[in-house]
Amino acid sequence: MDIKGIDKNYRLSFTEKAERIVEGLSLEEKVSLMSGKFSAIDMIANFHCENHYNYIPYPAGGIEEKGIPQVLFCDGPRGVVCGTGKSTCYPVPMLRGASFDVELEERIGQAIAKEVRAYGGNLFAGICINVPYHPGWGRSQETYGEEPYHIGQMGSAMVRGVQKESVIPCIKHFAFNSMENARFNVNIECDKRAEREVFLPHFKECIDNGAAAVMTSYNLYKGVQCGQNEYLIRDVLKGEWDFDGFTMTDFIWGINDTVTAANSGQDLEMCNTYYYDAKLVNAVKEGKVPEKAVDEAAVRIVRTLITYTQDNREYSRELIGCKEHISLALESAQKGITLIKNENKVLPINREQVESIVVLGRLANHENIGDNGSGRVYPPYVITPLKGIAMTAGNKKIVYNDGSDLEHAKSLARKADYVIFVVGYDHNDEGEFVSSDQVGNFMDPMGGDRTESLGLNPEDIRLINEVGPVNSNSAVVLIGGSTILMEEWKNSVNAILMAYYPGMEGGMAIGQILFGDINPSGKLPFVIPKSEKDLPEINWNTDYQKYEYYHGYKKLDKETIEAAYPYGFGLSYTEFKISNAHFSQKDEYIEATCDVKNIGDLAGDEVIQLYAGYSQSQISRPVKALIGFTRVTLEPNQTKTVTIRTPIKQLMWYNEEKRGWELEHIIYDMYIGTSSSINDLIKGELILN
Amino acid sequence: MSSYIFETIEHHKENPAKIIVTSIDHSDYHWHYDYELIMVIKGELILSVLAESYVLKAGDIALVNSKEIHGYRYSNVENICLIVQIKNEFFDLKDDKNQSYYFYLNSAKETIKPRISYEHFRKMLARIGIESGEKKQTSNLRIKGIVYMLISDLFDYIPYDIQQYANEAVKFTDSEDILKILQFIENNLVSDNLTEELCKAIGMSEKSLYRFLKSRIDMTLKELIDVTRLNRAIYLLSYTDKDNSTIATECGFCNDNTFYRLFKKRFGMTPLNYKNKNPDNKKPPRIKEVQGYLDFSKAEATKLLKEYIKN
Repeated sequence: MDIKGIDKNYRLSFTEKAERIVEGLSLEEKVSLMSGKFSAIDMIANFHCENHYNYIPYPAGGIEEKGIPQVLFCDGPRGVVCGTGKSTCYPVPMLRGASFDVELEERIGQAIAKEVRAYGGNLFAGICINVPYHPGWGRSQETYGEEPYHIGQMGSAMVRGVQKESVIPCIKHFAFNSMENARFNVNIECDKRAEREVFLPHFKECIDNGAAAVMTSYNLYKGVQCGQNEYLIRDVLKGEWDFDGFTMTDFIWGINDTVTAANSGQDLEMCNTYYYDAKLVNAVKEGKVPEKAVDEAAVRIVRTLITYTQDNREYSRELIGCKEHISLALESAQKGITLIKNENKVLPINREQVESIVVLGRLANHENIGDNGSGRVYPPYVITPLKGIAMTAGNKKIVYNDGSDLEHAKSLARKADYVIFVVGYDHNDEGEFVSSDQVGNFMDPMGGDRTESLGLNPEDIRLINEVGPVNSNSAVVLIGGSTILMEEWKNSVNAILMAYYPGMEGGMAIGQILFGDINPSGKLPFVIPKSEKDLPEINWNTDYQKYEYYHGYKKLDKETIEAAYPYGFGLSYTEFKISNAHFSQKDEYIEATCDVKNIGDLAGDEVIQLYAGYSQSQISRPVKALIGFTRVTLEPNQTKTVTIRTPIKQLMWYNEEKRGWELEHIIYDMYIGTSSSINDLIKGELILN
Repeated sequence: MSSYIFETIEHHKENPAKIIVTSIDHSDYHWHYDYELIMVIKGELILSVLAESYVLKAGDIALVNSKEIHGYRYSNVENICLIVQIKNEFFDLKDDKNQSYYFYLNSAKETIKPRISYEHFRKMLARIGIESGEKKQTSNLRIKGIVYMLISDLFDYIPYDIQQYANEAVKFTDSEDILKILQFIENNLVSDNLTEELCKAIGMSEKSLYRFLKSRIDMTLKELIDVTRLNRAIYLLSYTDKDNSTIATECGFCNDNTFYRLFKKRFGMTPLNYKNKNPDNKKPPRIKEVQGYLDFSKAEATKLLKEYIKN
């Protein structure tokens, strides 16, 4: 058996076997397959001893004597949540998105899946692909960016990587889960085009790439909770998209009615069972839920599990946090950290000429790998920015101060050859949020959405504005999961490096980039506007929110608002020149080519981006929308011809009246270049045959 | 030639601190791993931390950081001091051997103020001093308690920097190298090509020596040599009747004018003014005479320490 070849067709080849197994089960047995086995009491007990959420893989279903394995659930996404002091902690997906490197994401997926297997798990639920409608969403760090096309590509790479080790790739949270504080109660509405073109296409893309499980979200869509939303689960996912795997609820509060949930096509209640189990058995006996709904769920679960457990490879515990995986975490941070500003080329720091380096800011000496929610990974160590800078600075003492005393910070900065500020957020400022009235105190109830501001904390702003101007050799390293507004302080320093949450090796990558051992190559996977007013309106504390069609860079573009830093933007220590752009149709594909030349002195990577424009369209469509990208490595003076192929169907729009996708017969604007800004793009046209 | 003149109170090995009540005469530049808190109970004491010197008066407190190169010098007023030396392992909050904490606590300097009054620390130190003089069985326990409180209060109320090193090798050679450099300069002040000889002695090129000093103590070699020469000059002005010209030569200044200029720049007065201002400072350290004097000072010290608690 080619275990690397798990895909839908391979899974479907087990249909008959699964059906035979299910035929031999009683109603109670079938229902038991649809039930999580880790009770809320177990979970709370788990939190109160030294263990933590998902310390071990969470079991569901399974009947050993009938040859049906359990689901063994492992959470993510920045690594495997299980164990303490063991798992590799990768950068958060937002940073990985900034690498625009699908091949790297596939390798990370494979490495994560190996650790899942080594923990004894068989399902990885850390593929979060929600679109942050507004970057204030506290869990933005868990997704890949704001652009659905790009999220779909990165998520699919993760799906393919996870499959390679025979682990079930589970994507989440289906769907419209882009608000945290209100996630249990908020009802999301949007029009059909926004639904299909903005909030669902990347789910479809990941399913087409082989995702075998889907976790539904807590929020409501059009008045119905997503965990029991027949339209989303039965009609769209399993109907139109022909999804063959199984769905599961988000934990504990994912559904609230036995009959509605079972009839909607919800296959598995996680991580324990309350509405299924005996209640579902009774509902079937009373005729409220047809038994064939239970049969269908059981077949889906059994088929998926027996497919993925064909592979008997042994996975040693030594794979967990092994050297190879840790160096992958470093590589990821090196490729995702994004240089946003570099006036007078103050970066990289020449370690031969710089003697005294002062590091300021609360976050420099802080092991900061993201929020403390269900995605928290417990690695063996974390290299802080301060440590990373010391490790890469050469034989130097690095002086650090938290910056709370401004006068002292100034005097340190004045004397130093170089000043580095490390500021931004940690789990207190953003992340998964569990309110205390929902679950008692078993998760840190900090974090949540950034309801107050998308800017830095006032202390950080004061620090940069007061101390930055004292020394022109100054750089800000920003830590955070998403858009951070910079207008209030960006002129006080010469360089800005966005480090997101860079994982256990993040400090090392920060140091290597600051000192020029690594040439930065990340690109912003979100727009940084000048003002929060440029973003969609949102009410974080609400039970109703409308998601509009336009958000992020497409909204700014449409309203001709200039961004502070555009989507897809990121600097390098070298320079690239784009020329000779050509756009043509080759069968079902658009083929875009251009020459990229490295005109600087250093080798470096550039991300070439292809955008489609719809200025000739009869309907309201984006000025530019990303439809392809690729990463290219160039030595100084080297030129490469880059080709991006993308399916023509990427140009389609969803016609609500005709309930289907349509291709307009117009002249399409084509843009190819190094960011979404018109200044960084070459414009051309495409006429379809 | 250097040593503390003190009475040591040896505690059980488990104790986090060594407590000393003493009269200090003179102590050359030195360093240790311990953090050292000093409180002047009576009189005056000059504390030198690398290039900077402070006159600590009765009631002043200062913290000398781990591995910080420092020295003490008797002023014209007899002193009694309380010294509390705390093992640096108690300052390893994050269990990271490559980090050390550098506190800014010096009531005679006052550029960076604590977030709580000096009084708070003064009382704590005084209590430690008093307990150390008692022979009660509970004294050790109480001292431990106060020392732990003191350490936590340092972290909570005293501004500090963190010095981060790549690894222990870098961290631990630092102070040894700096001290070696200082000692070499002190012993060869009059040498004609001091820089060259120093580089040879410590095995560094002039360029790397420059970088090393700049990064570790933020001084150039020239600045360091000048400071060392001026410190020697102050000593000679205080303890000998040598004339200025002789002192300039003995300290290695190339001529009298340079000596005057640098002295005035640093101390804000000419060498002659300095000497006239301190007419009684003519006795060299008299180590032996201090011996029998300590019992008296101990009783007096205890009495004075009790006053500090009352306030």
